[in-house]
Amino acid sequence: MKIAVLGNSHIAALKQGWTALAARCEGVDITFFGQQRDGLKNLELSEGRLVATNPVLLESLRFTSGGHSFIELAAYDIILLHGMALMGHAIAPRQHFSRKALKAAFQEGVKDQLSYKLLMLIRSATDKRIYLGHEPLKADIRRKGGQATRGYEAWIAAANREFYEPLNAEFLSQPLKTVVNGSATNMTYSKGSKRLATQEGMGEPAHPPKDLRHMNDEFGRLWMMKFLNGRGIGTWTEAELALLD
Amino acid sequence: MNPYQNLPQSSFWRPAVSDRSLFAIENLWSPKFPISGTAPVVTFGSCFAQHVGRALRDRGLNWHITETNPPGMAPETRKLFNYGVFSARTGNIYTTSLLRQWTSWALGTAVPPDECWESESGVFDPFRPAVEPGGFESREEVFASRAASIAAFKAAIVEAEVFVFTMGLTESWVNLQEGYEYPMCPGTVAGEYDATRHGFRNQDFATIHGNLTAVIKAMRGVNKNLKFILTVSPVPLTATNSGDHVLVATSYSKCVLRAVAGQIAGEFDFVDYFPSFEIITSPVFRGIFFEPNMRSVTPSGVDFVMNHFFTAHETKFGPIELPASAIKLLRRRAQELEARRFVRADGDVPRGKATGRAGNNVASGDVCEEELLAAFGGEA
Repeated sequence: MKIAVLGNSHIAALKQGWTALAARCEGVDITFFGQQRDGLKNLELSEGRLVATNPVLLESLRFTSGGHSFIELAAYDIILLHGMALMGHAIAPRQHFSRKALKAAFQEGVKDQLSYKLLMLIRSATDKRIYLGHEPLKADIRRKGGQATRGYEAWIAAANREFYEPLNAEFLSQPLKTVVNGSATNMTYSKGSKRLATQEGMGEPAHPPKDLRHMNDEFGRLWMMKFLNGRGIGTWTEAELALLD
Repeated sequence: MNPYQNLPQSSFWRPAVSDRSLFAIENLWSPKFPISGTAPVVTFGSCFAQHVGRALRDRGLNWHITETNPPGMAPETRKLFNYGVFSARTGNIYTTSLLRQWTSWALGTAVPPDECWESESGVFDPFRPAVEPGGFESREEVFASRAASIAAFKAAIVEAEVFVFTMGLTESWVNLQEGYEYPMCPGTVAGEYDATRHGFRNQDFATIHGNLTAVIKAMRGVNKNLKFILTVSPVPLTATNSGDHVLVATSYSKCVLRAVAGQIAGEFDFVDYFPSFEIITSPVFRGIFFEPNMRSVTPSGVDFVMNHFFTAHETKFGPIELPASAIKLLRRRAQELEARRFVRADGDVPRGKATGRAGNNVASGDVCEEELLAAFGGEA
C-alpha cells in the first residue's frame, strides 16, 4: 500500500505522527511531498506525474519525500492533500443552510485555493479517490461555550455531500477528541509544533509559542491514526481509538 | 417676552434653512440616547434599512448579525441569498404588522403558517420570497430555513441594545382565511394570486400605531433594556394598489408612517426617530439625492443621511470610542479597498460586477423585493 501526502507546513505534524506509527503498519509506505505556504502551486502535470516547475520546489520535493523528484500519481494507492488554505468550519446550532447556499459557498470558498487546484489537477490524470485534510482548527487558549462537535461534523458532512463526493473526493475531519469549543483545537496540541523542513540543514525549528495554527507531533499522530484507521489500515486498540472520536 | 424669543436658531426657518447652503443644514436630529462602540445594533425593515446597517459596519460599530452566511460565500452571492442585508435573513419587513408577525413567531406567541409557494424552479417562502434565488429545493428546506431565520430574529431581539426599524409601506397583502400577512403580493415575486384568498389592506394610522406599540412592548418583555430607532424610508412606492396615483399613494403612505413614528417616539423615552425621510425628501434638498427616476436614492444621498446620523450623535455625545478589534478591522478593510483600487487600475474586472437582476440592485448595493413590482407596470 503506497500513500502520497501532499501539503504545506501543516504536513510537518502528520509526518512526525507517521514516524511514530509506521512500525505498526506493515506494508504501508507513505511519502510526503511538501513546500511551505502555497509552494505546491508550482507543480504541473506531465505524463501522469506532478513535476516541479522551479528549482526551489524541486529541492523541497526531493528533501521532504526522501529523494523523489516528482510525484508519479499511478504509483500511489491513496493520495491525501493536506492544509494549503483548506479550512474547517462548524455550523452553529441555530443555523440552517440550504443546499444551494452550501454549494455556492463551497464552490466560491475553495475555487481559488491551492488544495482545490491540486485536486482538479490530479483528477484530470486519475480517477483515484482523493482525500483532503483541512488546516487544523485554530487552537483556543481557553475552553468556552458548548463542547459539542455536531456543528463541525455537520460542516464536514455537508462539504462531502454537496461538493467533494461528486468529485470522488473526501473531506476529512481532524480527530474529534482534539476539538474544543465546537470549532477550535485543544491548546494542548498547539504546543511545541515544528516547522516543515524542506532542505538539508534546516532542521525542524519550533513555531513561535503564540502560533495557534500549527499543531504538534501528538496531533499528527492522532490525525494519521484516524486517517489510516478510516482506510482500514493498521490495528489499533480500543483505547487508542477512543482518543480519536 | 414669549416662548419663541429663547428658541435656538434651528427652530426658525430662515437661519436654519433659507440662509444656508443645503449642505450646511445641520442639527436635524438630536439623538435621545448614545450608542457605544460595542453596543449590538440590529437593523430590519424596508430596503432603506440596509444602508443603516452598512454605515454602522463601515464606521466600526457593532452591527449585530445573528444569521450569518456559510463560510466561503463570496460577497455578491451573500447578497443574492440575503445574508448580511439585515441582521437576520428575514427579507424586507415593510410594515409594522409584518414586524409584529415576525415578533410573534420569534417569541412563540404565534406559529408560522405552513404555506409554501411551489413552482418549476423551486419552492418559495411566502414570507421571504426573495431570500433564496430560484427558490428552495423542498418544502422541508423552506421550513428549516425559516425556523433558522425566526431563531436568528429572536436572537436579534434578545441580544441587541438598539433595534433600528425602517418603516416602508402602509399597503399590505393578507391571507383572507388565516389573517396572516405577506411581504409581497402573491403572484409578483412568486406564488399565484387568488382574489378569493388574498386581500389588500392599506393600513391606517391606528393600525400601524397599534402594531408598532405591541411590537415594542413584546420585545421589551424579553429585553428590558432594548432601545429603538425608527426611520421612515424616503423611497417612494414602486407601485400602488390603492387606486390612487402612485405619487398620491406615496404621500399617504409616507405621511402616515412618519406620523406614527413621531407619535411613538413621543410616547417612549427609549424610542427615537431619525429623520432620514426628511433629509432625502424635503423640498429644501431639491431632489438632488434621487436618481433620475426620482425614486432610487443616490449613494451620495445615503452618505449624506448617514453622515448626518453620526455627526448628530457626535455633537451630542462626543466621538464614539471603538474597541481595538474594531479599529484593527477598519484598518484591514481600508487596506483591502486600497488593494482593490490597484486591481482596477490594472484593468482587471473587480469581482461582484452588477448583473442588473431586477429586484436586486447590486450596483446600488440594495436588495429590494418591492422593486420587482415595476415589472408589472412597464417601468424599466
